[in-house]
Amino acid sequence: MTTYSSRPAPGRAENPFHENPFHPPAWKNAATSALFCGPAILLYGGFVLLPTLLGFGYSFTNWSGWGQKPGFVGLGNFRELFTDALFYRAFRFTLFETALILLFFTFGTMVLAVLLDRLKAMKGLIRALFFYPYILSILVGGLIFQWLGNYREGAINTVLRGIGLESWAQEWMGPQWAGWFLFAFVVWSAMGFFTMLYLANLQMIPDELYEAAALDGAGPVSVFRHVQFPMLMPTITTNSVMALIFGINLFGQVVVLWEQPRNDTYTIGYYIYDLGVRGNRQGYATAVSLVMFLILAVVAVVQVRTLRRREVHL
Amino acid sequence: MRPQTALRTLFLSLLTVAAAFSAGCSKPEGEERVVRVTRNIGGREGFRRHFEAWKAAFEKANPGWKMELTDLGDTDASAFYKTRVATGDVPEVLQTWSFTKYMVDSDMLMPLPDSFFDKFGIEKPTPYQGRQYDSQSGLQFEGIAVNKKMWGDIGVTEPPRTWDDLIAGLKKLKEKGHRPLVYGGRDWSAWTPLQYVLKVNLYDANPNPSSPSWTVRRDKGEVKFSTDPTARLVVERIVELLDLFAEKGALSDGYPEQQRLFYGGQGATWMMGCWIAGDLEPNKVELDLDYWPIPSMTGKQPAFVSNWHMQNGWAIYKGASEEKKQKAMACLEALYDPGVYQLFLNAEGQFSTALKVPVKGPKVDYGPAQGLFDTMAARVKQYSLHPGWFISLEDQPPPSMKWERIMQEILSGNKDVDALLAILDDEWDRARKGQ
Amino acid sequence: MSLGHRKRRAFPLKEILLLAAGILFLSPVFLAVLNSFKTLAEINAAPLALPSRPTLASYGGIFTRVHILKPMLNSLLMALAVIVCLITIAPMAAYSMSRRKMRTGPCLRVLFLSGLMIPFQVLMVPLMQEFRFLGIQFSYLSLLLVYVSTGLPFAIFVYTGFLTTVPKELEEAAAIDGCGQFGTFWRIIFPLLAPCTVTVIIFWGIWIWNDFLMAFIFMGPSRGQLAFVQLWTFLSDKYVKNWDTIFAGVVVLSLPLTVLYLTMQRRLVKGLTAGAIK
Repeated sequence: MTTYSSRPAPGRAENPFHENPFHPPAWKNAATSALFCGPAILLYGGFVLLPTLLGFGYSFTNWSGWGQKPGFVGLGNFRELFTDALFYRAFRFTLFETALILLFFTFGTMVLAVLLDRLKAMKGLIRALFFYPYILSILVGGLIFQWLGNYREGAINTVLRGIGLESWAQEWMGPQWAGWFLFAFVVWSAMGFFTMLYLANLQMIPDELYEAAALDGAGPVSVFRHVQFPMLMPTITTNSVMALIFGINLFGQVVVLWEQPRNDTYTIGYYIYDLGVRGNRQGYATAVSLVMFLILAVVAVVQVRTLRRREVHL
Repeated sequence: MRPQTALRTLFLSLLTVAAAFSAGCSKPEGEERVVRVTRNIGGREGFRRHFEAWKAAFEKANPGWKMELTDLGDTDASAFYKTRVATGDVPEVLQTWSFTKYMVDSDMLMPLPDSFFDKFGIEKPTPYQGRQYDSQSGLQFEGIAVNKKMWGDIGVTEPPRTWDDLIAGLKKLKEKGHRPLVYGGRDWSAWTPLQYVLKVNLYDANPNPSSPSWTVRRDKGEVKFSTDPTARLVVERIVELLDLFAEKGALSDGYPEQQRLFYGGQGATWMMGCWIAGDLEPNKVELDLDYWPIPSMTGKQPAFVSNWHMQNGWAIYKGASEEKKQKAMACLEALYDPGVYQLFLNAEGQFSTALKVPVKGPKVDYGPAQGLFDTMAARVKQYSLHPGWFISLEDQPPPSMKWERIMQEILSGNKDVDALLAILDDEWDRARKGQ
Repeated sequence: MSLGHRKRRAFPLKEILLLAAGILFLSPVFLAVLNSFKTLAEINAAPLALPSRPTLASYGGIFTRVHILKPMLNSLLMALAVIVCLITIAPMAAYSMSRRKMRTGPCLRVLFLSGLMIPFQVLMVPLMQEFRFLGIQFSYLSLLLVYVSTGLPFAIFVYTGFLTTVPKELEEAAAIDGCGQFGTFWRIIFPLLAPCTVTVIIFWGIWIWNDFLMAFIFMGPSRGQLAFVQLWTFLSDKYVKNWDTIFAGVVVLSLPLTVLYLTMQRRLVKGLTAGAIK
């Protein structure tokens, strides 16, 4: 494929340390590893892992979040969690949203990225149109969607009524549609992210593969199945894991869309926030987050392992 | 080689920028002659004007000192205060909203001396653990705003005596083709009607220590929503209210939508607090409005609900230096400078509770707003003030109680009174765990 | 990336359909921009109509009432600093953990992955206490550290993914050439990861620009010199929604990001991939 150089291996004069370039001595290997990884590990360990461990420590207390000294309650919070009906309700709703999010952001955005990849005209413009909502802060997006989804005077219903589809005007924030409306908002605001990742991956596909497929007379669908899809596996892994995490932790979109979401539309992420900020039960909230974190960690690791095995390594 | 030079530039810029930022990291704290104050302003011009006047008054009376604003709403304030408590860097003057109890329990606040209240003729709020911690604002009360023209259309000019009369009036308005009630379930404002009727029906108008409040009895387990006949009555009538008068789509309406409808003259009734009068001017509202007390369901007199018993204003951070605490006191005193106090009352739509300050109530140039303020003042004299559950910090429902949940359940189609009462009990118990 | 189709599509149907879809997709924002040229009264009265008398009053309001210029500059600098750190530290770590011989490699990868799942509320207070311990609380440096450290899991995860598409022969050839580990990485591997780097730049830039919570917690509102902190209190007021200022603020604040996106999109990706792969 590429030839970097056709020079022969260096002789003694050029390699004074007699190092085998493929296997440098162990200490040197370790030192270089430290140099490569060091900064990342230090920063991450010091400013993410350490506070998290300390933070999770609060899940064994009944801390309110304010300055009072927390009281130790052992596994009391976890026992309470076991029988918490609201937790289960939120969990069910979160799973519903996560399933939708996982499917759409893994496959839907892939299709969109493939469509956006090889455009003949207005490439930048069209991509920018789909990407723009991601640039907007979700706070603004939430306000826009509140404005869109209002039953009486929101843009969606106004347009529907205006074109004579009166019966299609729904209570978008009502019990029937709320979950779907939230999903629509999530898609609108985050689609750019996942599509961009796919697009970046698509751009790394070498042209030779496309040329070879063209020589074989492959149409676009075939190209997708045999060239693009296999090469996209790394991003499929990335996106599906990110989508899973995003779904399970979904919180921001819920709070900006409905300042006071109905119980039916509580996600776990919102529940944790609500317990901590409004309910003044930071200890219990941390216990809930610890449980969710453990569940998520197990699922995500399994997912990554399974998907990485299927990736094409050049 | 391009990547090489790119790499070098990257590292250089990294170093420069990091250095620049680190330079900004050493700031001598606590040396400056600044009093930091938290106050919510957001988009409200009236609040901004008030703060600027307050700042000017303080700086004039305390030369060499400055007042610095931290603009917070109450949700952000919760996160803000908690992290500041963790690091010990708390502003000197704090707006306490509904967190007063938590802040006192965390030993954050300095008690205020009686002399402060006496100086301005302020009636002291009910003490918490025997002490006062907050400055008092003005008299804020809750009632029902009505569009005089629409109610006049059905021949009603005086407040309904009973809840039945109110419902009857709303029905007639609907028949006449008006929108009887402005109501939305999307945000905090969903709870207003429910809270109104609970406060005036479950609680005593003249609480006294020998007769425990409903809150105390509930916490002791002597009474529950599910078993209390008054609570049952309240929930039944609320279900009826929403059933008859909450429109389809109310779940997508929040405070801004309600305000737009009411001020746009498209709704006859809005159950909201007295501060709405302060919003007439920014919204250029020219309607003729009246403000009515809340009619009772249990045969008592109609009354406005007021929260002046509660400690809810500005407090002083206990951990500040002595000098700063003194200046913080001076800052609180500047609140009652007549010009400052006037602007406060104007912005909040409250009436004066500081008898020695020569300001009686809101006084604005905008005709319709002043008209409403005058009407409110007259009605408050005509009818009485009910404390509702604002009896004291020690004796109120859990502040984090989710009243709006019941309303949203009703709007979602759940009209089973037993289920709703059970939810009320469940929410109360949950919220109590956070205290 | 042109491909020799046997049948050339003469009529750009696909492009037109996508353009229409894109416009529909973005229509709420178009409405918001439209409304930024109206007065507040007009927005309330006729939100879907064209402005009867276009005015720039709301934009004036943004700069006078919300004081947005200096905060925007600060946000920009902060984003720059964080991104520079991330795109140097993260790829090195990702490379080291997945390609080089490191016994702890896979274990570290999982460790970083778990960082993606940690909710912020758990970190918030202990981090503040840590910064206080180190004496750097409420400084730009502390916020910088937060952004970089919380950005590492994502960046490393993405880089690890893309690294699997880089052929191993390149490293071996470079080793034969006498390139040290460092050289191999920076001269050969890093340029190949360009699309990934661009992605990280764009995403993390956007995240920092739009971030309110972390900036607010770690720097505080009075020193809130980051753009969105300024606008937040405006946007989240429970009682008042000054739609005119909000919409103008939307346009003003997203302009720099749009510019960033467009320049990154075209120039950088084309430039780096063209040189590196061939």
